[in-house]
Amino acid sequence: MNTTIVGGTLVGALALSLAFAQEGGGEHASHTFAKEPVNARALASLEDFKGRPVLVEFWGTH
Amino acid sequence: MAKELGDTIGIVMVESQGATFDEMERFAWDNGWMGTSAMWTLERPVDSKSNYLPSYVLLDNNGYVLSRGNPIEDHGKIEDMIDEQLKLAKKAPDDAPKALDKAWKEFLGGKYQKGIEAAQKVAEKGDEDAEAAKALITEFEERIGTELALIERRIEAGWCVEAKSGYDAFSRAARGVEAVADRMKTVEEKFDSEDFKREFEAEEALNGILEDAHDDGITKKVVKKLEKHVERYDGTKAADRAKRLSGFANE
Repeated sequence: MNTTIVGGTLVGALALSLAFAQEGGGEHASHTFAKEPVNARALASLEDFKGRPVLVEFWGTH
Repeated sequence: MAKELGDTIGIVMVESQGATFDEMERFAWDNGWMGTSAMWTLERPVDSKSNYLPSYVLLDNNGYVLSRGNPIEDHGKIEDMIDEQLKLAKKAPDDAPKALDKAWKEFLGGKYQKGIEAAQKVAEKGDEDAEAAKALITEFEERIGTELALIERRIEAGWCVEAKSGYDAFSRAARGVEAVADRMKTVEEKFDSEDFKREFEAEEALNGILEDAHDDGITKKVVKKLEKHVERYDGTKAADRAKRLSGFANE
């Protein structure tokens, strides 16, 4: 089982927790979505968020 | 976090265990995760550099990686870093020339034209800050253009409620900016069109139906309302969305 955070709420049961936080160092992220994400509301790329921080969360349905 | 912060940050949820697009969306509805500004995708817009789930990457206001890790362990740290970015977003960059402080203050305070004019004054002096001032004018105009482009795309894609509310704020900030005056006029004409009004009404009606679904998922009761919506607003983009959502019934 996995644990994830959605809307600030812990969901699931067991965290596959590892102390693997890494600080970034000048790495720029750039991506245009090939398929419009659900609830994208016409936001098409990371560039559309310029001026705001972006939290990208990796989660699983299983 | 998405509920607390709304549109002030971007939240991208990346399904990473091989689900299909529909499975991902159904899962999110069934678990009551919709109804925030978070968007959901199967694409990895940035490398997590992790083989574990959950994991996260936090990007700063300019798209640079600030942090990676486990979102549960780092929850407090993530909140602190987001707070810091939100504060920075309201200030001129640290490396901006002092002479451009006024331009930044006006622009970030939602007075775009006054920001451009303040930068123009610095550019016209022709001193050591002139080039930075010209570059700043270009940056301001790009930012204004990008903001308006999203509104235009939202109109075309049938996200009319957000397009309208976004434009209300944008038009106050961009009043007098010549570079986008024609485009703003076109947007306003679209808002007055019958097609837009019908799309707007259809989307408002759909949003009302989905209020219940945000907590309980797509129940049979919601599906019935969605089907009525499809009949009533046939031909609108909101009706297309309603039709698709009715396929996610959870009972």
